[in-house]
Amino acid sequence: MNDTQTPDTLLQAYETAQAPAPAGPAWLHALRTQGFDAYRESGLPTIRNEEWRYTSVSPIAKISWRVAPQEFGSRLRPLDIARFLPAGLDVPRLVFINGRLVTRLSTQGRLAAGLHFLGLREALESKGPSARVVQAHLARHAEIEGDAFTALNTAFFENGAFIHVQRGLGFDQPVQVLHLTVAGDQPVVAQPRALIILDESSRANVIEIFAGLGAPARFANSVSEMIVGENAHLEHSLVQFEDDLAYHVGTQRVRVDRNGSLTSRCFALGAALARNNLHCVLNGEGAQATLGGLFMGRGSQHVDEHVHVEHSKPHGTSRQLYRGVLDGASHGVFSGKVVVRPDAQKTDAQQTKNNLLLSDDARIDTKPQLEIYADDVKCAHGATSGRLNEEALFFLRSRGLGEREARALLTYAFAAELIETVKPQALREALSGLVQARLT
Amino acid sequence: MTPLLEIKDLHVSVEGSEILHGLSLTVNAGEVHAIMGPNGSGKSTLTKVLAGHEAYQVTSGSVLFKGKNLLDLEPEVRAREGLFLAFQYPLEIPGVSNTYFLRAALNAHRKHRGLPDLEAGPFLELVKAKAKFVDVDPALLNRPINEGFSGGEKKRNEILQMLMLEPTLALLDETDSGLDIDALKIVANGVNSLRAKERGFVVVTHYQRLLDYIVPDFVHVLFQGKIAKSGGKQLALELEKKGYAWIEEEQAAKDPGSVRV
Repeated sequence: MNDTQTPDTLLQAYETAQAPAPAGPAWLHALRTQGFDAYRESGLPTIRNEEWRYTSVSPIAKISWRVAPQEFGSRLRPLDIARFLPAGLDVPRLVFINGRLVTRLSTQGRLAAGLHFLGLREALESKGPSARVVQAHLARHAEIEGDAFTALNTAFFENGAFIHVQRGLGFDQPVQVLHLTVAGDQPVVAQPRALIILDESSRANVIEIFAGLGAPARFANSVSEMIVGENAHLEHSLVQFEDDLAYHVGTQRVRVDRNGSLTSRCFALGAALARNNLHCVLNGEGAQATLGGLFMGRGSQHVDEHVHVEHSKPHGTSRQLYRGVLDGASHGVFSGKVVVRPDAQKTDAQQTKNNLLLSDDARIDTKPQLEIYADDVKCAHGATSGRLNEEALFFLRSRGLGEREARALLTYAFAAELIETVKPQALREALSGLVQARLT
Repeated sequence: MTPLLEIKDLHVSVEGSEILHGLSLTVNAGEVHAIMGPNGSGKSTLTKVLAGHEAYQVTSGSVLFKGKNLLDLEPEVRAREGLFLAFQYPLEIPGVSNTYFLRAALNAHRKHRGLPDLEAGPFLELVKAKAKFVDVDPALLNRPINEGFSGGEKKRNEILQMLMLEPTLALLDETDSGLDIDALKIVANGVNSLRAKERGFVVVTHYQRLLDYIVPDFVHVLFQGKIAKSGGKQLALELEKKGYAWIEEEQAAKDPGSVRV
């Protein structure tokens, strides 16, 4: 129960907002109210909550957040945002500043028929088929009850990215969404949102990028809902490269239908405090999920990755590969949960977690959980945690590489496996650059 | 003329136990010295401590490389100064490609000598030529270091690195162990191609066979952490015929208390 003595700083931000966002149609208004009530009831999670045992959000609770003024979006020019986008990636993009779509910075270009890529609000205002798809799915999948951050986002998000691929259509060329949190002279909170719907037998590649600028503090609380339809394939990359003035909570809720497949990679490369929650349900026979993540911490950063994969139907396949690189006095948390429901016979689930601790003060807490209720399944799990291989370091130095260079090379090699399967190449190169920059 | 390598009364310990008990050795430029000895005699310890491996502590003695104190230098500086160690058990290094690593190593050496980096084009030409010489498939070069390599391929990769870096003093730690005769000849070819009057080699081997192909100028027998006997190339043949027990008996006769069972 929220402590009524101390006002919740996030609710306060919205109560004092200059121009509260329009609620939208009645059904959305109802969902927002549900979110608001749920958040007001629970407040932010404490470390007594099992899912938040290792991650205290009190740094977020203590800051007097504000909703950014609308004009922050209009101040930025294309040149200002270029450094947040992978070089040479000339694909349709939507740019959101503090959760608001800035069409001037976005380039939808000439989208192929059957690929819908626009703001959620714009989709609703179109009153066409897109509006119906949004109504059918928006806020229907991510849990409002029992998840304070989803509740908060649902109550207060202003806009978000809507991606819908119609039945049978395949698009290898990705679409990009950039969410920038921009602060002026006050701490700023934003609620990025995304809804990705792939109809039966369709194919798409979606890149979500989260970054920010400005002082003194920024908080992005993002929710993405994804439906991978029957026999459809979604390639998804999430890149968060915030700085020490930023707090970031990301929630992705994905459902993969019969024979559908999801390949999703999450890169958490910065932020003072970052928590990512990925909940993936393999909801149809033969559904597949290949999930990967790289999280990096340095200084006194705290980075938490919670992954929950649920096999609810037979013949599902899931693969998880998560790697953490922790330096300085940073703290990493990884929770990998696999639940296999009674009907999910012939499930094939594998989890691999490797952590590299680069310093004496870096820490990692891991919590693997397997709940298996079916009896004919294959579930494997492996975890390693350690320092750089001393013999490998000595070998490189014996060939003339300096100690720092050798350490950086081996650390990059550890992270590289997560990058090398990312598509497209421009994003791979951008990630490679970001990771290398964090190692020097 | 300053010797290339001058080891004087070196005592080395590993995890508190002394392995080298006052080893002395001088190698002049242009010479090939073979070091033979039974298992546990300290052969690997010698090469590792010269290369600067942290696990090996020098408790007393000195090592001069080209007249300079070697023991004061970091491993990478020893390498850049011209020291090379071909490992007995080369490691697999996942995620680091052979080519990337070779280029970084070569350029580190070049920088040390005041030379600019070698451009990608000329570098690749060089690597392909050297790879061909040691029968390493150039296609394997884009793979991570030693990943999926057989024992023989790993050893040939060590020689490839040596050919690329052109050291002044090369230490070969049982480079022949586990190799069939064909691989052995390739390795020997690689080593012999580098023999020059300004270069020295210390070839550590357990078996005499390698020395038929890399003919040494001097042979030393390492026994219980010291050089027990030195001679010319015939010593290796004599050792093969008589076995290490011969050395043990000789030592026992010389100094009854010194031979540990």
